[in-house]
Amino acid sequence: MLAKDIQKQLASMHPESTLKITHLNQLARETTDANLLNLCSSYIDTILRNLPWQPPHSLTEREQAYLTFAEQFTMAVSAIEDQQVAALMKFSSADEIYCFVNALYVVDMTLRLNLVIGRVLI
Amino acid sequence: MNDKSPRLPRERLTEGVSIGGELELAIADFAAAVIRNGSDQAIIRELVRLRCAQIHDCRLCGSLRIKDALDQGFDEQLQRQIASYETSSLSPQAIAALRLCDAIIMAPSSADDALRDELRSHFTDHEITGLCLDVMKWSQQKALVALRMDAAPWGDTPTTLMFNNQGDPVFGKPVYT
Repeated sequence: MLAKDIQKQLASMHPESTLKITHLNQLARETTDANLLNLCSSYIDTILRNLPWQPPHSLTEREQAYLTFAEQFTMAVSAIEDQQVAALMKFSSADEIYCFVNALYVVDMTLRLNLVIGRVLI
Repeated sequence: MNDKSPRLPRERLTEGVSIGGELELAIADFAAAVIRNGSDQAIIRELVRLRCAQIHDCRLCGSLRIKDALDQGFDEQLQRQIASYETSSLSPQAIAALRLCDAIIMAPSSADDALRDELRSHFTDHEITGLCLDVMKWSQQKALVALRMDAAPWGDTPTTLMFNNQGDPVFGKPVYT
């Protein structure tokens, strides 16, 4: 989700787009496995901040596959390998993966906006 | 599967569920809003869009040229300067915009006071936030690239991109004939 101060700053200048980002973040969690997306989001946040990440619990094989994918998506999307997507297909349908990747885009870019707008505008 | 095949077989994707599903439509709706509410600095926006295409390595986006930018003088000589923009002859304003783009998509934690000061010497706060939203909008291709669904139907041929009044994309003809 957009941080409150970022949301306020963005909304003061681009209200329509800000509302839509808020909606996207809600929808991303409604249309995918919200727990899995939040786990990936917390991991992405630490990657973007160059911080160490501590899993909140012992990870399942499914969670590990999605976190590996999310890490590559965050660091260099063009370097994702076939087997990283194939690993997701062990646990999810093509429809579920497609929706999850779109949701990952939403949380990844929202976290990036939080960081950069917070540093260059607030 | 060859190295150009989509990673999710099209026949296993359900129209209205994944492709054209609620989230994808909402992303398109956000993208259209960013286009409608963006600045009229078409060349700066095109440089930023193509930088996103380069970093994400999106074949579709890399093949497109926005008509408004072409009308304002954007050309392939400018396009070729994007990859090495730090040592290019692009304007200081364009370089500042590209540094903001890189900060967002490559190293958000690198954004610092120097970037802040540089941006503010060239853009208003409204324009800076508009550029940030542009970068988010032009990064929606990340999902396509991740699933290798980013191939353009017209291949590498530079093709014009326009937007209708709602902000939705309209693909045109080859730029150079």
